[in-house]
Amino acid sequence: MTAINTQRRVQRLQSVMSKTGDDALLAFSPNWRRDHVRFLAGFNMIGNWAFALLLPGGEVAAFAEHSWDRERVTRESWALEVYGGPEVLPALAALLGRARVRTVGVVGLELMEARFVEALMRVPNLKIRAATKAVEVLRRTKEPEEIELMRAAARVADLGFQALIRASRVGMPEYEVAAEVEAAVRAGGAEDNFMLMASGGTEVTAMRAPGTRRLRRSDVVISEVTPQIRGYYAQICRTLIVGEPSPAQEKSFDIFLRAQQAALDVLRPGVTIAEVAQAQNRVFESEGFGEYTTRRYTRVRGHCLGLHFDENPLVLEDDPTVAQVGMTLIAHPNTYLPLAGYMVFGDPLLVTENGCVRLNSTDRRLFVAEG
Amino acid sequence: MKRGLIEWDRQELPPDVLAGRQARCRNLMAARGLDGLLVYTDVWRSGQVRYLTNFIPYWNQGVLLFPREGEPVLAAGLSARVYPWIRETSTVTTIVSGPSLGQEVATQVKKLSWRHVGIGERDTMPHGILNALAEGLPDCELVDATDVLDGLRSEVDDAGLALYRKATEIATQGFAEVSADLPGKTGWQAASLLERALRRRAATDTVILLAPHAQDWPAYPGDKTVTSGGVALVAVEYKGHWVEIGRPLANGNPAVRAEYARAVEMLRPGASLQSLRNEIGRGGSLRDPTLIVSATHRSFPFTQLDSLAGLPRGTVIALHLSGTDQKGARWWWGDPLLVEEGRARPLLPERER
Repeated sequence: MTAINTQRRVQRLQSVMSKTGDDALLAFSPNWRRDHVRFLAGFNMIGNWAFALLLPGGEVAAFAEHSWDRERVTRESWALEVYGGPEVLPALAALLGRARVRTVGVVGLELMEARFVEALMRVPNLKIRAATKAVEVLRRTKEPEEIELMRAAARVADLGFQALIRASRVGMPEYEVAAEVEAAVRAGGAEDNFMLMASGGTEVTAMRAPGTRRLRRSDVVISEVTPQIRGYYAQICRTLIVGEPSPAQEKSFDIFLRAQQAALDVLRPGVTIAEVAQAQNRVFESEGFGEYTTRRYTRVRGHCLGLHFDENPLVLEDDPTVAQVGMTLIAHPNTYLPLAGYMVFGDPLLVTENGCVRLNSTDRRLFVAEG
Repeated sequence: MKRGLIEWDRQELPPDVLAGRQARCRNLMAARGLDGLLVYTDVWRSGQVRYLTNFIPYWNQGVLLFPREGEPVLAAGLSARVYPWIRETSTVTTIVSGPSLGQEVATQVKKLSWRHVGIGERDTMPHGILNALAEGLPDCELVDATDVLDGLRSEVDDAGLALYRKATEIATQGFAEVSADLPGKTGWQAASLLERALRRRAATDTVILLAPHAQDWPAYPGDKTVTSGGVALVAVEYKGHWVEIGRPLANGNPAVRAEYARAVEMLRPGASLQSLRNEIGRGGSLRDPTLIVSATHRSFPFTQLDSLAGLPRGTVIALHLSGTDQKGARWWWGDPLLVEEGRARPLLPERER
């Protein structure tokens, strides 16, 4: 499996430090945002929190919540020093002091538990400031190894969707359908998976966690499957019909298909993310459904992907970010339409020199489950 | 990640149970002189808000504004299109959101004219939210009100206990269904079998750690082939109720099972963990015994306790005992326990474990 080039990673992070003027970078991750620490130190955390520290000379240290987890983190991480349990805060303070760090940029400061911020504030002569945005900008353009891992994740996302088709049978409860997808992506090597779904008809206004509802003939089943391989997520959004699609379902899906194609046609280096959103929304407007592209009905027209499954920038009509080679994102015009309820359609994309390419290979069509 | 079942079954968790919890919370707040209580939630730390309202976020963050009088307000990171789902799966009816969660909470506190504001688990509240509250509410007294939540959770209700038992059944039955098939599989294949077995039994979320070989410590699954000398640690959430079990993949050595039962007998709230470890070491069945006590009642697994002091009645914990038996085999056992007055007892009887 592809390994991250740690020397390049550290150099890129050091370039951020030289721009922000920080002597060191400290990443904090609560469990639900493991990406900050993973980008800095390359390990997957167990428990409630973890830290990673990049010192002025390029040395990386890792900090795990549990002392029993230290050995695993030492194996997984490129950090030279690993601390766990009660030794974490004293070790962190000692390392900052030993390296004479005066200013530390904190990635994930806004999510850091208050007690940790207060402990850092007590370290003599240390100034802390937020570095989340600066590293977020760095992370937008993926390294070659990151792209390979995302391709691997996209292949597993395709497998997950195949499992969803197989499991979508009349009478199957939603949560059992999700269980089959989960089993498939885990067998494919997924560390984690972000998945939402819904089933039904025009009453479905959003995806959410699966419930006990049992699938019925003619249901629309919508899902986003987002497996994580060695830290990196790729997402696929697809819609399927249990049994024969109705003309309204086909007509509705065709709008989503064309909207996403419009995003693929426009996405290339130099365009803004706003243009990618506008291209999708214009298709809905041309069909008289412009209202359904507003926040009342939908959240975003896509988002970046990487170590987190919902990275910034979000694909919105007011986002001025300029697309660059190496950016990875999903364009998904997911929304509610009165024709057939909420539908979803999206693929993970890589921005290339001439445009963009898909990282996955599932057909771009409305799927049918035999039921 | 919570990609399993989230729902509010009113038979399983009757509305009057939640109303009773809310009434008790108001009484505790009144005793502290609090106008309102702020309780943080996210996809990982969802237990306290779930206890009060049954709201369980499938991702993102939120803060529950719980007033001493009147209806609670949820400030949510989730978008408006899922508000109907939030209302369907919880007692929350008023939901607000804004670009900054902390600023939105401050705005709502001002609207509610609270002056004396309690913050549940203040020390672990995300800095961004706490900072926005401090800046946005200069006229409010913001105090740590973790004791209110602790007091609240020290009362066990039958409905809550039944949900923990259901989580334990999912974990033990799901593991039992596939455990014989795990040796010889890669870590990924083993995780796949476990995930299917657990989630088809309606698990909301799982965390699976495997030790493929006798000499390994449990970690996330990988390419390594699992052997019969390995160990599985399985954490299961059922609708916000987390439990943990630990099991050897081969048949358990009866002598060390007896050692585990002895550890459960000796576990007393307030007891020293070190003396418990020493006592287990003197038993002789296990070499190099490791004893881990993990608290799951705030709804996240693998939160190791350094001490048993101040463990409130009603807390659900997991006791894990591991070591090497006299034949040199790795052994591990862990079960969820309920802390009662002066003792702890397994959530499920022996025959069901």
